[in-house]
Amino acid sequence: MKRLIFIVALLVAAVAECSAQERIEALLKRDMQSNKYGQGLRVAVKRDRETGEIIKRVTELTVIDDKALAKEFIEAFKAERDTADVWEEEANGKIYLVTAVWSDPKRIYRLDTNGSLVTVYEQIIYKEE
Amino acid sequence: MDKLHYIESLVEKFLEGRTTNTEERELYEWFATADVPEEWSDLKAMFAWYAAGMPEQKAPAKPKPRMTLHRKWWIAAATAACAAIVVVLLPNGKTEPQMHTYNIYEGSYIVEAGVRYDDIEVIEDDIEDLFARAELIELEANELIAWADTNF
Repeated sequence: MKRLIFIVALLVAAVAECSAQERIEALLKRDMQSNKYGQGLRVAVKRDRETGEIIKRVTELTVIDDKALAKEFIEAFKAERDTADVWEEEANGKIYLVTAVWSDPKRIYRLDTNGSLVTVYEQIIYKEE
Repeated sequence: MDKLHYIESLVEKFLEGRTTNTEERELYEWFATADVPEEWSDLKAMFAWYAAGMPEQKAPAKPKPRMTLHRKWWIAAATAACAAIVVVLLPNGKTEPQMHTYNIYEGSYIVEAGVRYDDIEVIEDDIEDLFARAELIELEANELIAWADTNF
């Protein structure tokens, strides 16, 4: 039940998310719930030791051998290019690397595609350490 | 919005790690005192655990044996002796208030081949590796921000 509520929470949050990076966020959350890609997912939360308040959340999704998904992520990142506060893009043969930053709270997104390996990375900093 | 919907939205925020301390306390209190729907019983247990400061494991309830006067006397004497030792050993004679501490990585998890791992002791190294990578990426992002500030 807890898992179901968590999945529902992610779905609702994906729909409700109206911040600038919403396309990437929505895609990331969709794939966080899916096992069909055989992805590796890491979600790291750092809390204030004394208050328990979340300081930082880092999500890393790794996908192997899924060109369609890689294309979806590339399109999602490109679609958000104009909304990012800072944007850096590098394309070299099979390598395509994007780093995008939004502020308030500070959110850093990175897309790293290298042949069949795609890594999507999200870092949200709620409080500077 | 009725109360259940409101609580549901707070739970969503909590799972996303976006709740404030006040909202988290509100959740702990509501789940501890309200008539929680059956399907939320797991959440009730989870929030009770958070409210208790995320103890490593629950201590089993043990029946308390009745104390004899003789035993009470020995406990009182031992307590007084411990207190005296603490007072003598503390350089300034002041005792620090006990601070409750949280596990800084609580809420972290890993999914590999469809299997979720959330035992912090087991995944701690992976979590620290990810934070180390995150720090490098943040440094690069900060350089980008500084460059953009300078050039635009």
